[in-house]
Amino acid sequence: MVAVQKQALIAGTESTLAWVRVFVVATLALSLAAAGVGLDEAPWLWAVVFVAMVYSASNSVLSLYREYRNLFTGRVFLVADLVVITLLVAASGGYSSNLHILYALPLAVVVCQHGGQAGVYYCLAVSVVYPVSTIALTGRTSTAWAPHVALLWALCLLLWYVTYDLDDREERANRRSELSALYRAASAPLQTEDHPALIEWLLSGALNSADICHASLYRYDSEIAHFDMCYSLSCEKRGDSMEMQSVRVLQTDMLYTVLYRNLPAEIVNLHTDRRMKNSVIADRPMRSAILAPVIFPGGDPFGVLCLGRAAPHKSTQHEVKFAQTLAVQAAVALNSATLLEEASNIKAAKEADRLRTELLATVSHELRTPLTAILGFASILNPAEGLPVSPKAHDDAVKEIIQNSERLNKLVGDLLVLSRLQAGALKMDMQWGDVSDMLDDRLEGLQMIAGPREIVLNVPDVLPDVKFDEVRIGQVITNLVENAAKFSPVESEIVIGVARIEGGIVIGVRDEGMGIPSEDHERIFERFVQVETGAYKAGIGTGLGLAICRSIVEEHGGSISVDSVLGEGSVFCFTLPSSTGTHEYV
Amino acid sequence: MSMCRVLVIEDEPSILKFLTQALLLTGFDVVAVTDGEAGLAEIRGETAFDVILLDLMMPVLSGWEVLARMENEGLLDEAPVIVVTASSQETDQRRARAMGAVDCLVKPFTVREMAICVRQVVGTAA
Repeated sequence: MVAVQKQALIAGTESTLAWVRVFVVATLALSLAAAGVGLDEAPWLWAVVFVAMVYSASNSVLSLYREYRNLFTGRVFLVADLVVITLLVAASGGYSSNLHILYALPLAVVVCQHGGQAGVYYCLAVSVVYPVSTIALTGRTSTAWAPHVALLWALCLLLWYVTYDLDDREERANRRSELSALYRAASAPLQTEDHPALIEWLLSGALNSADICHASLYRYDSEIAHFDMCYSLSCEKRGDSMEMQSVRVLQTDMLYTVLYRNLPAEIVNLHTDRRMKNSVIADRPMRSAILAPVIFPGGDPFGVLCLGRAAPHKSTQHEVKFAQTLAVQAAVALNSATLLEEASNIKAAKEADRLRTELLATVSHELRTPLTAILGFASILNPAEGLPVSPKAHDDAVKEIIQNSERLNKLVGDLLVLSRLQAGALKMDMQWGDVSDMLDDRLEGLQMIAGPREIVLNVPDVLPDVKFDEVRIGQVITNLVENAAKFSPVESEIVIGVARIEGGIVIGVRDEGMGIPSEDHERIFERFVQVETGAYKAGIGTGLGLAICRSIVEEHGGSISVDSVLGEGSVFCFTLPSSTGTHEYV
Repeated sequence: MSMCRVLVIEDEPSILKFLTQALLLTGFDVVAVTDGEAGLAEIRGETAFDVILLDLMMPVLSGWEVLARMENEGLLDEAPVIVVTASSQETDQRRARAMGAVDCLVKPFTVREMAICVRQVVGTAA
């Protein structure tokens, strides 16, 4: 904005200077003439004065032109042309002069720039001006001008014919590009719900239409009643992503007028339009612009859409209508995106709520199962019931109560660990170390879990150090060995293997059990999922072991998976990266 | 009066054991199965039952599906069904009744509660 102000200031100074120069040169010439200095006495002096005169006069005309550019329209130039040519023709011998051919030049310009209709008007004007001026200037009446005018009409028709096709094609191309911009705007919410991406989609559509070289959207924040952000795209930077910058817009800016009145506005020339003084739009790389308000259905203002052209341009009604339609379409698209986003948020919240309820139901079921056994057996033993309990049934009941109490206790413990792990509240005590040392230390305990099944350690001599929490990874291995023992026949082997892989190590536990159907390979790592197979007796586990394993391994930056063949056995593998990339713990 | 015969369909071994013992101790004859399919086979079989205790949350064939199949095959008239559920939600109990169950036993329960419930159902049926 500062640059524009500076430019305006310089332009102002320049125009004043130009008139001062004219004054100085004129005074010099007059004083020379007054002093009696003739052309013959000092030809060089007069030559210099003449050049200075021409220079300062043309400068002044230029500044005049700059100042009153709005007056210098095509029509003014045309009339000036006609007057000059008519004077030339009349001066060089009237209708017998060959200079009448000069009339063809402005005609060609008119037809090429404004189409055949303007050409017809031009020819009509010449048909009147030519004979009238000839009669007025020479006093002779004759119809000799008729062939000249007829020639001009023929030329006009020829030019019209040539340019008509071009115009038509251009027109159709413009309509096509406008349609595609509107289609893009209409289909925008199907592409994305993200506001900036949507705006970029809309603006790039606008940029492809007609000869628009700059498209921007000024966002209005209803809460603070200010424009706060500008999203813009220019064809100079085609291929670049959309620019997003926060803006400060003065309360006098035209953007507010457009938004508050809910009416489009047109700026024919940004450099001369007084309304553009101190406007943010003047900073943009364009010379003319159409501004259209973007108002949400329901009346909430969203912002102002600005479509700019590289040259000063008087927009047609159609072009303004197009900008308006695009703005309305943009409002609908942005509103839809907002609504879609809200809807998906509600859906996600509902889904989370449903999952929570489902989990609560599962947890309550899992907790009530051992509780039922405890309460049931305890009530059998209750002397108040007076039941004839045999000593064996008595012992059985006590055993069941103890087992189910332990199960309940483990369930509560596992649930707690899992919920803390998933909430990220369980900090890992990460230390650099060798996994094989940890396995050696725990072998005895693992063998006890495996019972009659033999634990085989398959660990290479040299392993890279990894950073891990010994207690938690130990828990993972214990869980996996427990599972392996549960599902494999006695006197089978459970192999714990470690191998080096790129970026870390992999630890696997292989059993010779019944295997897991492939459709359950992913599912078993979820909470409370237990695969039902022939030999499996429900009630052995809590259904949380593998979920805990996955959470612990993922906290270490690794992953866990299973490979299994039904009837042959399963291998559970998890990786530990040699440098934990995801989490760093103290 | 001959002993009432109860069919218990329950997948949790501990609870199955408890139900069996409790029913035996309170004077019932018991047939126990661990899944829905075996339960349906028993109902279709020769043996007549006075009451069926059916767990709702079972893997493979759930109690709901057992109820639905019993209705399809017209087996609901064979014996009154008491559903055993860990869900204290009213909707589940209402749904079970709508599907043909005569009563609900909500876990956890004592031997006395179970016996009263079974006796009531058997008494009503008689």
